[in-house]
Amino acid sequence: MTESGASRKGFQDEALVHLDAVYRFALRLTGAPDQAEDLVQETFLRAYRAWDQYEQGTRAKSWLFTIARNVFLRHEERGKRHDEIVRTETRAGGPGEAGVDVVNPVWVSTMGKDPEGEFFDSIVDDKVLEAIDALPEEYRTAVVLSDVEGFSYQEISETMGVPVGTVKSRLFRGRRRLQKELYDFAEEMGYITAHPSGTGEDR
Amino acid sequence: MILDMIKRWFGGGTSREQEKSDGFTARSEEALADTRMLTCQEALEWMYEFMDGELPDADAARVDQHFKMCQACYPHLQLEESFRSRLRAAAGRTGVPEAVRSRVLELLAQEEAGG
Repeated sequence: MTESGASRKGFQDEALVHLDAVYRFALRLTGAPDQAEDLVQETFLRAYRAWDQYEQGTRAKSWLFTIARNVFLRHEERGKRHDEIVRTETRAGGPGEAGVDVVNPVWVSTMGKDPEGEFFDSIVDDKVLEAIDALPEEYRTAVVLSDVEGFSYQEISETMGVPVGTVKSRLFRGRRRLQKELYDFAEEMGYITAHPSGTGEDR
Repeated sequence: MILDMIKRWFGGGTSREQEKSDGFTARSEEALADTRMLTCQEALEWMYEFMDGELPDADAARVDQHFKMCQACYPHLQLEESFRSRLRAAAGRTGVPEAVRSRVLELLAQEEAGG
């Protein structure tokens, strides 16, 4: 390496400060602490080696997340599930598209019981994480980047290498899917009372 | 069915036909450019962009106003906020373990020295 001291200092100030966030993301990508550690190490090593190609002024956090995700995806056997999502996504709906309800089915289920969604608070962290981790990667990453890390649509679009419209669609579907999962769990556990028969939306 | 009933409340399907990038409806410029009250349908369609801070200020103000005024829509926003804060609480607080931090720093030091 022929990096100057100044640019190494830059790496510390701009990249290493995101170590916590990259680790969090790696945990959600891999679902396991030991794999998350490997992913974090590889991400920072690659980032360090490529630091002189990093464009100053772009957001280092998204840059690191992009590397982490690419490394992760390369290590993953990208199975059938991924292809299916990409195929269905070309006609993926979001609010406003014909046939897609703006009314959240989970909200409908909570009507008269807990329309503000307070039941979410009764679900323990481990279960919430398990539900996030069960989402297909495309949805999981979008939801985690937006809802947990506060990325803008543009930043998610760059990190995932897809257009902003696709980001919105993934967020919409990922959030709804996750909400449904958590709702069903809350119902099973008796945190929220089951529908009286005849008012379900799923018939 | 309740869902049908609600859809009727909200005026059924969308009247906005301007499509679309990647199968996702583009925000209707003229619908937001005017100053009339948003319909429930519009407010709910833009709810995520509103929550995600992706609307221009003037549009965000109109969506905000709708949710503040509309008793039917407000719980939708509350449900989403409750969901988001739960995700943040569960997934957003973890930091890197000290041992992992040390190993990353060590790895980078080695790379600097030898690589």
